[in-house]
Amino acid sequence: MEEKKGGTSAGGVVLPFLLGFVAALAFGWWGVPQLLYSKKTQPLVFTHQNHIELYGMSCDDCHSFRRDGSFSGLPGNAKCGECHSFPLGDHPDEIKFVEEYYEKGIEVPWLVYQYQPDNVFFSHAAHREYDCATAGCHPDVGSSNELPVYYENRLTKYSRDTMKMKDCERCHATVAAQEPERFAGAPNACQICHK
Amino acid sequence: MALNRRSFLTFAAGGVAGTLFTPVIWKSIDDTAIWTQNWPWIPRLEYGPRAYAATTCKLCPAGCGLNIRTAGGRPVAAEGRTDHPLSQGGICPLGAAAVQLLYAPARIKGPMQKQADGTHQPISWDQAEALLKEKLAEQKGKKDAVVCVSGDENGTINELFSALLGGLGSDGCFLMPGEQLVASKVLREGNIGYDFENADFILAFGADLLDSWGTAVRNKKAYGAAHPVGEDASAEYVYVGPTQNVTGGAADQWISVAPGMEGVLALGIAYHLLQGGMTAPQAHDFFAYRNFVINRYTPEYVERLTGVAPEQVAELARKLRAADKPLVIPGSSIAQGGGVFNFAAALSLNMLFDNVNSVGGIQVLPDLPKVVEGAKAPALVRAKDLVAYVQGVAEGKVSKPGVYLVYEANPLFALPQPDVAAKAFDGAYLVSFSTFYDETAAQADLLLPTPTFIERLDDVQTPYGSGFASYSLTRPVIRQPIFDTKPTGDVLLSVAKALDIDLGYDSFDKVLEAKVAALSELEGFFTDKVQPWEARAGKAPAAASGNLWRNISRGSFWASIQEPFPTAMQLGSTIISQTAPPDAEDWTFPVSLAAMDSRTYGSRHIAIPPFCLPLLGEQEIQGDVFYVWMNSATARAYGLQAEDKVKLTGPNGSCLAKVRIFEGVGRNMVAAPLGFGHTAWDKFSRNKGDNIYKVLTVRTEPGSNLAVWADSRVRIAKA
Ligand code: SF4
Repeated sequence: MEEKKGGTSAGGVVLPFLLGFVAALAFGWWGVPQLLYSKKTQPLVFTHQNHIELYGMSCDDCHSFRRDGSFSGLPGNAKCGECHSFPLGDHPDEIKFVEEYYEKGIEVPWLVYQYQPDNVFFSHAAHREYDCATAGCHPDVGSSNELPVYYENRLTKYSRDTMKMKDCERCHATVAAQEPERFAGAPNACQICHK
Repeated sequence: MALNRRSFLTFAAGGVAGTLFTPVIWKSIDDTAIWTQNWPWIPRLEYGPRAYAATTCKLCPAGCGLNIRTAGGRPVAAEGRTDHPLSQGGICPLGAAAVQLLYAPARIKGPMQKQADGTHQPISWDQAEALLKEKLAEQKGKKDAVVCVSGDENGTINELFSALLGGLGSDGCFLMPGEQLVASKVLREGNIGYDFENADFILAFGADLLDSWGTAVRNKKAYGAAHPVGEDASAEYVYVGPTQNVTGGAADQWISVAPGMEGVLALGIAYHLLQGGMTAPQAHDFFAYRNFVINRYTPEYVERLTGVAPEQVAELARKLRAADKPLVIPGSSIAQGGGVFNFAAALSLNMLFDNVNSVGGIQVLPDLPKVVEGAKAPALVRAKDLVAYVQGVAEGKVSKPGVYLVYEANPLFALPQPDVAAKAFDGAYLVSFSTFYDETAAQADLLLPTPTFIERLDDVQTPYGSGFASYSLTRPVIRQPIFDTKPTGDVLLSVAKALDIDLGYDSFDKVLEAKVAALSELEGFFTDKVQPWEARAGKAPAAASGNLWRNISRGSFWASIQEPFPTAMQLGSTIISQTAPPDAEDWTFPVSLAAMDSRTYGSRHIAIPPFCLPLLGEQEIQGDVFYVWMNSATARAYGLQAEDKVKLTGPNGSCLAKVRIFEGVGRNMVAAPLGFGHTAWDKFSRNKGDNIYKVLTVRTEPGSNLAVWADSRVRIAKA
């Protein structure tokens, strides 16, 4: 009686365990990200590809450095309005930009994939010789026709693409090791990045 | 497989094990940590384009040009303007705190009225103005029943106060005391200016040029330019004053003289100059002056009163004579409360050198044209002695006014013997226009807060000490004011209208526009290429052209070196002989109190901003107790050692402090900082140290009848 009971239980234990294990894996790897992030889309359709390929613009034309060396980030209405002060074509978002934003003087509430957290200093000027996309800091939107979905962490409200500290550290460590003289100022000491 | 308890538990165990192979736990811990960074009460950065806005500082009368740095339209820092002659890229600690003061907890958030229980409760601007109108209407027509105390020495707002008071039948428009008052007793028209930049020997009596006197930041720049690193100095600076303050420390020579005795030393120098054959034929009273000085200010007499050795005095006279362009600056070491004697005595040296209205000398500067009909001439307002008036009211010799209007001033803290001021204010209706909850506001019946200078349009006319007449504007550089404040100029205009007093304007902005328009009556220029001192030395500036208002309201600095009228100056022999100090010793209060002022301690109407607290050293304040300084000989004489508690007692008040031994204080003197001991304001400035104004004692200077207190005396004893 006892043996039998034991035999049954050996077969009966493995299966529920495996089921539980697989269910947890599925939940952890697939379910949680779905739950944790809300998906947002940009307020307007925007194609980098057209701007670059059809109109021969360069990244710098809109994402420039100001005279004081600070990075202007996303262009404001004034910049877009240099070409789009009236609708160019009949795409609904083109009209929406002009009527809803430009003419009313409201800046487009673009979603930024990665702001640096408030507790770090970050100067784009110091990093300008790295290619934004290939250095792995920003998603490669430069040649895309569509802006990627914006995933917002429901808990922290951060964008999913926000850079992690380890990404900064890794680059600082490798670059500083490769050319120690040139990058003497880029070690991983806390005060290099943190306020 | 049946679902029984066992299989359920193994399923759960599998689940737990599986979870360990997913990032869920680590991710949750990480995200929870990040979430704590986003709690709403944690301060956030605001992003946006950075910009600079050029404006003018109103935190003290020096009128420096400031650049307010903004991020996304929000002010974040104040810096000195390089294109502004009064700052030349420099700034003082108080100016550097300007943006922080904007958000200070001591700010008054809107109009308030005092309740029966003594607390202040918010009211609307309409109610507040109606109340002010009603209180003023009650006094209308009664002589001198409304008094204004303004802490703004050089703003056009004083014209509105004076005209409004005129309309009510009152002549009581006063400025807080400063060097201007004494200067006005010597010079009846215009202002005195000092052309530091072109002088090569600067002898300052009392005037703490590099910290708290006149155009302090510009003075520092002139000093710096004359002392290039690694090269010979192009101008020598000598400081005569009680303590080795910033000026005494930086000067090429410091001579310690007790407060109030500076003039004696000046006449001691005059003695040598006159003996050496110097004359002043342009002055009508030269012979009277010569006789008086030579008979009385002999080397022995001067040594007895000042303690300065005769050879040192003779050496100073020799240096002055050897200089090409000597300039003598009169003043008191706290830029207030000095007497006519010291001022006129030091000034007379300039006249012996005939450097009035000459390059590198003293300048008589014109007042800018008045624009408010019915306002009194600025020279008349400057000449009114507030402290004497307040003493008179407190003693019952002068009838008490019904209403006090206090603007950018804190008389219940910063007048000598503030308890006397309190007595003079007690029972009258007190209206405060202060931006901050200062001691006067805390007592006021009605609070009508004015915006900070970062939020309002206002002006600065020729600050005292400047070498040239000038005009610049302060303008709002913030998207919108932070609190429910209203510019006092606009309040005055609207209340005047309600009282049927026509001041001629609808808004304060229009008054300022008229002021700017009136500048064209004087020869002026913008200091974009040529600085005023360069112009004075002969470089030709281009006359100001274009739209004056447009330029000045965007930050241009207007200057003029025009002289107001030909000056026939006197050496002041009569006034000097009448006001000369008695040479009797005071044994009841044997120690001279040398008060010290510094922009690190705030200004006359601003308490130490939190931003400046870290600048105070361990030797200035520890916990709540502040230090007074004395040299080791004085300390020994009174049985005191460093860190001992000491009590300073004057004829009217006393205070407690700790002792700091500092050899840069003259013998038989005790030096104490002004600006401590606030009881109102916010937790950052309140209850730190004690208020030295309580110990300063007012006396009346014979001959001029001016109230003076810079030369107060005390008893000191271990507490
Ligand atoms: S000296 Fe006076 S005017 Fe100049 S920055 Fe300091 S507080 Fe402002």
